[in-house]
Amino acid sequence: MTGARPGEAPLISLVEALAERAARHPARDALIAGARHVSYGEFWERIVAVAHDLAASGVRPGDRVLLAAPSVPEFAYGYFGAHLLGAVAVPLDPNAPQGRLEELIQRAAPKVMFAAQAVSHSQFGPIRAIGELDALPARATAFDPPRLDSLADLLFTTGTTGRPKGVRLTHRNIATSSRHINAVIQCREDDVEVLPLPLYHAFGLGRLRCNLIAGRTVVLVEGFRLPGEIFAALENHGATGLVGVPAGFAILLRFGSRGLGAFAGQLHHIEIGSAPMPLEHKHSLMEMLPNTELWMHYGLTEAARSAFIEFHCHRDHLDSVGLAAPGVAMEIRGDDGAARPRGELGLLWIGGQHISPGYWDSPDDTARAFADGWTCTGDVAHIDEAGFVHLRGRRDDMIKVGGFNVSPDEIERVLCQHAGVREAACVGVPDPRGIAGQVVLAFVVAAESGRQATDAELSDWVVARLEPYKVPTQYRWVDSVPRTASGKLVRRALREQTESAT
Amino acid sequence: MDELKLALRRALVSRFGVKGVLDDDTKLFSGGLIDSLSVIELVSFVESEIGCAIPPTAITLENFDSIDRIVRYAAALVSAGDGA
Repeated sequence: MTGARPGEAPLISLVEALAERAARHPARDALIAGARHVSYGEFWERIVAVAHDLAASGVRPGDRVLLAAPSVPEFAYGYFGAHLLGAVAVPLDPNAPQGRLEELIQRAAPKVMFAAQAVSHSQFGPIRAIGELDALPARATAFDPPRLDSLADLLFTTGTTGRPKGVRLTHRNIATSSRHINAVIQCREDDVEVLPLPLYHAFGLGRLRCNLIAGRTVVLVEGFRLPGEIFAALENHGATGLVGVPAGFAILLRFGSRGLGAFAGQLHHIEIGSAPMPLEHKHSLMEMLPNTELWMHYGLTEAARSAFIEFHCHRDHLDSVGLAAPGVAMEIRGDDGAARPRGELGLLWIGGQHISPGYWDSPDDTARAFADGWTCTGDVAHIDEAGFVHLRGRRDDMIKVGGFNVSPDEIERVLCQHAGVREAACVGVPDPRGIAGQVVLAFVVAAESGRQATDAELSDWVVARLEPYKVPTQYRWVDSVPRTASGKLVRRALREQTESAT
Repeated sequence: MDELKLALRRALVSRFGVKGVLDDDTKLFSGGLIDSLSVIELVSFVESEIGCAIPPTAITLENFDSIDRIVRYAAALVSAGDGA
């Protein structure tokens, strides 16, 4: 595992780092979007122009600036422009359902709002077109850098646990996490990275920050929609890096050596995250890209990307989520908050300067999840002797069968190995006999081809591989199972379904 | 290419589950009628219809987001192959 760079410079905010970059190499490309190239010099000018414009619109330090826009350069101008003014950037998914958008806008209470299209009379006031941010008049700089402990971002989680939480992130948090991650995935300054991810989500946004403070070039691709766009971007720009979610890589992998394999000589690194990846896909990537660093992260919006595994280097630990990044502390604690010895199972807590100070408007949730610069991930895990973190499952998703804590992940993995199953999601339901507390109910999506398996066949399959109390007592065949936009299973939704049915 | 258009239309409805109005210029992927995971199958289908391999870099919205676009791209690919 790579260590932190020796003699680290004092921490500065990302906008200050960007100003330095613009002064040092103004002609170098910062962003590429289609045929548009934005140099560091031009990028900085746009950011300053945005800050001036926001100030003229009445935005003051601490005010929120809403950015509900796709992955275009103007998003970045708005994001860093808000930072330069000391305002808080609030990225939002422009395609979120109307109800959710309205709720989040209400909670964030922004002073100014930007979206793909202008809306002159929304219920929240005027919404400006993000494209405006490309056409503001140039201005001379006259801003003090933001204080490190002032708020930079307000990111609403897309997680699996109910009402979205608003995660507060300071300038210290985001500058620190960028530094941590750059110490893990070490790139050269002339690296070019293809970033086909939404910038309103922590992974894409985090990758943008990491690259820009290091003076690298980012190729923005709006959405991971069709693979040709990715391959074309890799080819046209001689890209040395690619990031994505497992579902995206699943599509790219289907092209075999004609696809990603064709870039084996030019790709220096890949970063994957946001959802689990099947072992076969990890192996396929390793075979196809033997000389590329294949990084996968574990993290959460509250704690950025905190642990990393490199498939080649850590090939004997592919079932873990990796080692803590330099500057990140990870600890297993019991329900009582006391630290557990190495190897023992408990709740995973993460600590460090990158940890969010808490939630925006949920003091109870903050009290539950944060303590003294640490945050509780809500994941049950253990850390082995070598420091690798092994996840057992979400605490809330655990199924309590008799005296046993059963992880649905394990059962789902086994079910998915059956030829008749494409996807599976397991939840706990009350034992109808009133004996075991809970029993396992499996929602199953049938494989496209072949005869549908029977419940009995699936149970036989599971009993041959796992302990008897882990065998589902009920199966429900469904067309699909609920997932977040990044592919994470939302078991809570299924639990709610089963609860409302009783 | 008329045959391709017909075969495509049929396959889109029966195999790819496209529901509702399907015009020659209806947006398939960006319109959310087909999910991106199905693009592999769609590409294989077109390849077998035209007897040509489609380079991965060509699988873009520009070339695949509607029946018209697919047919136009396929025609260009086939004639480029004939010319070579």
